Amino acid sequence: MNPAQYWRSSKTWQKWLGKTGTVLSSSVVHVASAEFAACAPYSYALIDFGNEKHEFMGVDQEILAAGDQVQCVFRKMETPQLEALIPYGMKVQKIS
Amino acid sequence: MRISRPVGILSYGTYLPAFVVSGEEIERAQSKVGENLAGSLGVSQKTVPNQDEDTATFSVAAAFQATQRWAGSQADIGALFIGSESHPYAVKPTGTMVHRALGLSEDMALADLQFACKAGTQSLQVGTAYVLSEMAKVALAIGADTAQGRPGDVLEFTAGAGAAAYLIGQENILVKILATASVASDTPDFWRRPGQAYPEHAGRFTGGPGYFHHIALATQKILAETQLTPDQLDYCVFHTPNGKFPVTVAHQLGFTPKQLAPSLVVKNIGNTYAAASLLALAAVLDQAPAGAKVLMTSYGSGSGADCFLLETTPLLVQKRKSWRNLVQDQIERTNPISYQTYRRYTETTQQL
Amino acid sequence: MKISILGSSITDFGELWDKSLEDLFASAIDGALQHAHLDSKDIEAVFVANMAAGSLNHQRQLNALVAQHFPHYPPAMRLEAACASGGVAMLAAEYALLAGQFKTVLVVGAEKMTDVSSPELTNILSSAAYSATEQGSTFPTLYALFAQHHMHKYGTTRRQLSSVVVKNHLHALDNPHAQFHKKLTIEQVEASAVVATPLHLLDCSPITDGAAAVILTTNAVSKKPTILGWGQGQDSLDLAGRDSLDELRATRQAAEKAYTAAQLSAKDIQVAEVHDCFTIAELFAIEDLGFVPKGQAGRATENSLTTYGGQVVVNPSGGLKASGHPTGATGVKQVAYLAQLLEKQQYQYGLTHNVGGSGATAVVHILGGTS
Repeated sequence: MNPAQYWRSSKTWQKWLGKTGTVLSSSVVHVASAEFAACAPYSYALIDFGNEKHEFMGVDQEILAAGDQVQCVFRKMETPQLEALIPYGMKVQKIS
Repeated sequence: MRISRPVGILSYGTYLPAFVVSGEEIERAQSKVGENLAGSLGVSQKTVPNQDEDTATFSVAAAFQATQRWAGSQADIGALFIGSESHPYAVKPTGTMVHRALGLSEDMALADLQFACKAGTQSLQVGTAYVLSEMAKVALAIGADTAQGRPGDVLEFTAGAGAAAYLIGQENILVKILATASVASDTPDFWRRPGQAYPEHAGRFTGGPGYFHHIALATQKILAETQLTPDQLDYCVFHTPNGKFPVTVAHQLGFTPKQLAPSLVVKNIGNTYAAASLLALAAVLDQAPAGAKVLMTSYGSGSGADCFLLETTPLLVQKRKSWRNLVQDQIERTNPISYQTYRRYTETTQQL
Repeated sequence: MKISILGSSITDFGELWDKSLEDLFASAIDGALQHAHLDSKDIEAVFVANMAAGSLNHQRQLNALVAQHFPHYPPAMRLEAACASGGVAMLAAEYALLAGQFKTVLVVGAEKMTDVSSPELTNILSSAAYSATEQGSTFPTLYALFAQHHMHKYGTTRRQLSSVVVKNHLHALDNPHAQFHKKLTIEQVEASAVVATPLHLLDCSPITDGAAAVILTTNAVSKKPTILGWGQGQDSLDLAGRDSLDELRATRQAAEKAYTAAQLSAKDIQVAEVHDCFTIAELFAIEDLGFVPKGQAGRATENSLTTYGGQVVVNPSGGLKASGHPTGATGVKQVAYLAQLLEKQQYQYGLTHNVGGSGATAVVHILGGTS
């Protein structure tokens, strides 16, 4: 992600931080794109936030299933390359 | 210095990652089974960050909890200081990511601090100064770390991960800041050169000339300035490089085990470095009654110490009733992982 | 005005190391001209379908690349709608013909996918999703979310998904150009590596090089298949914007428009080439095209309703799964394959169904036979 893309997408962090929703459908991704390969296997889910829906990756190591209550948290999206901007973003975590 | 004008903690939040690795697992990995190293260090397990976590993600989580518990306006936060030994960038403050994630105002004084384990409390003190000087209405101070211990080294037993965030201001104070003082010297007990994955430490030298000397110096300074004796205080919090040092220094300075006990979360989370004293303080504040006097002294290798005299208010007790995810709750929801898994996770979160 | 399919051609589909993108285009174009008994100068305009040559082959301005294959450089344009590029290129040609702009045009779709590494390819293909909001997804992941939902809501089983693969691989044995000529069993499908739960590797269409071309004319001709109707449906780019995961609404809308234009209904369709980029996609397709009621696709496939001797022959070519899926070519290949079956008088009414990405775009064509 280049600096301008990072900067534009980071404007959405505040909107999602802390928001809660219900998982509508979820899959565990075993074969991922190159930049997410180190995170695999990870969950990817479609979430219902009440007034809108959005798709998010689940936090590392957590398996999500339809019906789970989740909350948006701030995490690293992918393993950062040593010299690159660290790709932060929002993921969802099960609410215990 | 005694503070004559009102200033204090308006809210606080903490974050602990969900994984812990036990002292037994580490003993096995280090082929030191039966030596009871974990027992002698007073740390039975320590927290481990997930692969997608780092000091910035911790800071956001702790700061978010602090702001969620606070009825004030985020637009009033005009200063943001974060202390850590594991800032994700050597150049680009961790504070910038927290700033963005929380959506804070662009009117902001912001910088990262480093002073080993006292960088968090130093941030608290800087924030207090900004508020008192009216350079900011509200300040946000965070201590956060994803500490690393070299495989096979004794620090592997204690180097944990966590964060604590404090909002400081003058209105609707939960915990008054009555006095604060700092001491500093050049005492080379622990350091890390850039590009090195793990710090170096000077063994037992870290004790006497380091930890004990500086904590005593700063604490005695505050006690003298405020003309208080330990028995007049309700709680004490001392930096927790392990579970033993704070017990010893508390005793040396005339405090009782009962005054110290609520702060000893180190047993279950390890040494969270720049977050340690602030997390220990949070554990105390999570259960202290109104009108309780708390003395906190942190220690940062290299060396220095920050001491604070605090007093809880009835507002803290009232507000706390609706809070969730207190420090103890987060400790209780941690899950144990194997040494192998712990090493795999920490390889990805390694800071250089 | 009647649009007839004068000629068509499909190249071999597969891992074609010695064929460049340009070779693939040339091969399909020459084959179609030959089949139609036309001279290249008879083509008045060219419509080019391709998804990702800019990234895969570092080649853009494909309209010019293709036009220069003709000595007279006919006007050409390139259409892109991810895996529905072929379908929308067909539509562009049809609109131009109906407008009276041209009388005889050629539509060609091609994709050269196998030069880049697999991770790089996954990354390029994922750009057909909504990059701003679907970070972390891959195509199998998005369809896996559909699959989880369909299994949960309608009781579709793992075995029913696998039966799509078994059927399409059997069908492909009759398609000389198919990428795979290999029977597969339910067990083999389920033993293949998990890609994104519940989809396994063998639930997914392969990476394929290939091209296909058709020549369309509004001149009066006889004994050639005709295009009876078409329809395009459009929906949100990302899954989050869809009304529900129950259906691909774009497919349903495209089909409704096509049936209306052709004055036919789902019952009339005897053969169909549908977009089985993943097994679950074929199940959604046969429901959303109206062949079987919603939720029944798994059962229908398991009970052989979508193969020879059943209700409608779905994917006689082997579909995307067994004949291969060069993304830009598929929409054109589907029309070409059915046109060839219809010309051989094997059926009277056929339907093609081409989808872009996770269902944002769908194009349906209904073809009529020669009798």
